Amino acid sequence: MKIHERLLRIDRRIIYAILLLVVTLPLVFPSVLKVTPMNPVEKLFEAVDSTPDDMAVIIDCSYAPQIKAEVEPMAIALLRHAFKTRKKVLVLSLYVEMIGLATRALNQVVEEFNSTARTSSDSIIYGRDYVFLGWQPPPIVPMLGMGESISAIYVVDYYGNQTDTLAMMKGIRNYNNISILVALSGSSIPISWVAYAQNRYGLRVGVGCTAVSGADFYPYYQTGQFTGLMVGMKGAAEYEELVERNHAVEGRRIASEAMLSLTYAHLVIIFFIIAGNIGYFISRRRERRQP
Amino acid sequence: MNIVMLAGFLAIAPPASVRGYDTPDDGGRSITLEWTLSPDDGVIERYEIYRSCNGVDYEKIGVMGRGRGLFEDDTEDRRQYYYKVAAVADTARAFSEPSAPVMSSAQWLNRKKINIIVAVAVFGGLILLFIQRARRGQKLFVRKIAGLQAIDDAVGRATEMGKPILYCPGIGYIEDIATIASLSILGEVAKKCGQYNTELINPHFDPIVYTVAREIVKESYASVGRPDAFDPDSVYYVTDSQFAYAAAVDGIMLRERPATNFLVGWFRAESLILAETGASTGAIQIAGTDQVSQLPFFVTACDYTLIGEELYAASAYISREPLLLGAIKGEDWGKVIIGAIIIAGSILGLLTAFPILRLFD
Amino acid sequence: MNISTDPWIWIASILSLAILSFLYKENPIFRAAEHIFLGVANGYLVTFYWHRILVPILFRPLFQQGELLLIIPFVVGILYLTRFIPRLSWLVRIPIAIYMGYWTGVLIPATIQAQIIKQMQGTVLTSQNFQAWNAGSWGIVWSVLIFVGVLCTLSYFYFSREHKGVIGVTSRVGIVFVMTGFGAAFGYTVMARISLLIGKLQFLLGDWLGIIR
Repeated sequence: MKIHERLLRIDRRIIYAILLLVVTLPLVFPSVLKVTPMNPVEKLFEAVDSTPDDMAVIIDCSYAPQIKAEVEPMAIALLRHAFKTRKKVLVLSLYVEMIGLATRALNQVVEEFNSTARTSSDSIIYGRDYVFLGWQPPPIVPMLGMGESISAIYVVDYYGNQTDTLAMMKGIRNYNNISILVALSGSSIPISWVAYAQNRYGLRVGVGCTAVSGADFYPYYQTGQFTGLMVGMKGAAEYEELVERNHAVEGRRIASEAMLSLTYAHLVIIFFIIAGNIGYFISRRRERRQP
Repeated sequence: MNIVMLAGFLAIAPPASVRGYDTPDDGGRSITLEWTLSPDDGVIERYEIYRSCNGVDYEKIGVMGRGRGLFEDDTEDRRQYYYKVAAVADTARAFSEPSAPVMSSAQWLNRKKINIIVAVAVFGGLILLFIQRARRGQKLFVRKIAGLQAIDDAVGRATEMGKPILYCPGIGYIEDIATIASLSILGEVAKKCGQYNTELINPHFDPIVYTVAREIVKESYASVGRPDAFDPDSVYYVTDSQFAYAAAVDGIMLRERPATNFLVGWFRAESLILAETGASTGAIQIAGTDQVSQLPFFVTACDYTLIGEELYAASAYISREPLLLGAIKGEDWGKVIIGAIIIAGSILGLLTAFPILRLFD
Repeated sequence: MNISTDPWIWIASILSLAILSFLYKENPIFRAAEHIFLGVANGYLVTFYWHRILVPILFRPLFQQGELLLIIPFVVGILYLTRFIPRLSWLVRIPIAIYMGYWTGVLIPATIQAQIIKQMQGTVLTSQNFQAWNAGSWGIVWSVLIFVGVLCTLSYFYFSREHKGVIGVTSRVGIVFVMTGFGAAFGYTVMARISLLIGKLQFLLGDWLGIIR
């Protein structure tokens, strides 16, 4: 078989094996790859960073287990950022199967901060520093209802407390008291936040999404409907970089650890695409030359 | 301490020009309060907002951070309120003069949404107009879609090779527009299968879509005079589990080796699995979906792809249903209007100082 | 190697491998894992719905606090269940009609504002839009590219004329933009799938087997 035919007929098991190797080896033998934060991620970072003391940030953790690898690092980086800078945080999920993941991210970051805290003011305390609102179906109810009153929609929080009795909620009534809402999702939920909450109440919306949705969401960033945008694992790594660089927050950077694997995997795929195209064009030219 | 407090009290200037007004363009029960910031805004901690219903007894109703001179209050309509704002530093408070009395009320029209009302009226009106014209029998031209032209060739190829045709309508439900469009195209494909006596394999994800598709295929065979050729087992329900369905369809592609695969409807991540497996068997593949995230996979792995709205147009072209035709024509006019506004807006925006972007807010 | 002793990590790992066994072929182990997931998810949904939604928002206010107005949505909600009673199944149209009417009224203006009017605003060529890119004079280039791309893509999806003449030219340009967009989406999807593989390997090799520190 000639080489250009071999290039067209590479056994897919070889491709799988090479990909598995280039993805696994950098994880087992880690090395640092510096990530340069891009403009959309910086905009989101600045929007969260500039939240006034009397306002809160809402984090919508609406990501399913199948996209956890891309979006959970975003949630963790955001929570680290918010807690380090003592921003008030409200967390919610729009679907019940995502509550477990939201709880997991919250518990992890709260534990990180409280394990090194020495006083009450250093600690992250539920009800004072953050509130987990839980889930309220269907999604449009909290999207529109929170514009009037958050505690009317989430009468009780996830843990069963009356929401309006929590210390943090005293000054947080509705979207007027929310600096930005960051929607972490793998579906079109962020567009719904823009269509309902931003359209009617002027709420600023930031987004953390999977790479699959990234191409769909850039038009909304370009028009300013999304204040900032994190796309995929790379977006999460960029945010982790900004949080560590600006606020010296330490903690495992899951997304950043994966950047080398991601880079090598992309290079391998680019190589095979080029190889396949070379084989294709050579084959086509030879077929045309034959009488 | 008292001297500091006294000094602090004397040093803080109160906010000025406290003005309350009915929040415009809303459903009532809201008053907006504005004030000029205290000259000592940089040193105070916050502003406190006080409200009274009689101008005498005030109660605190809210707090605003420094640097902000706007507050929205929840009120009862047609009731007078008076407001004061206090600049606060530690225990010192400097109160403003009370505002004039103000009442809230509901408005009939949200003037900020006039552009949406106009857009809904224009687009909705156009669609209704063309639906009426289609119902009256007026011929509405819709160009033929490239993928549709391939259907005849694809069915012919399957007939010559003596192999079946696989029609997969995706994993949508009956209320999804893409599924409805797919069923129209299924009817057309079934007619050709009936005419040429070609075997049709039609596995389904949703039980309701399955029952509708069965009737459509049966009617299609009857309409070409071949009710006897309809095989009830050719249209069947598989499973409503996404990847189990994909695995089942893959199995059909590998075992039955259809000459032509139709992947038309609403798809998610299983689209690449289906398209790739079909391509590996050497079948001609005609795909169509309105899911933008799945289109790249179909375009790569299939011979013809109906992209987005082409799927609806294909369905309208085939069925000649007035509702579908009217919608396509109305949408076309909508695109013309959008394009014209963008061009006109750009000319105005570049050549004049007119704040054209405000028209869209 | 530092294998985890947490039983939940073991359960998650075994279920992950069970699902991944689908790569070989569909098998009973994959089916079992899939059914466990569906069962747990549905059980969680039902109990959460009852304790956190129905009881505090409907039953307690209606039956204990006397908010009688809630009878209306309660009855409308009950009507959904009539689809299981053949004689009364026609009643299910009432809640469906209310829901669809409400949904259409909320969705249409929101979609027109967010996805049409705002996008038109971002496409119009103005100095404000050039500056929004924060890219200096490159902002003009990107804005013009978007302007041309939007108009040409719209002409590709124009079905009332054949693609001949001016429309033929613009639609060919439009399809180039469409395919470029698909290429970008495809590239992003590759990144997404590799990211998910990395995530799963981080869990299996890190949390479970302790190979990754």
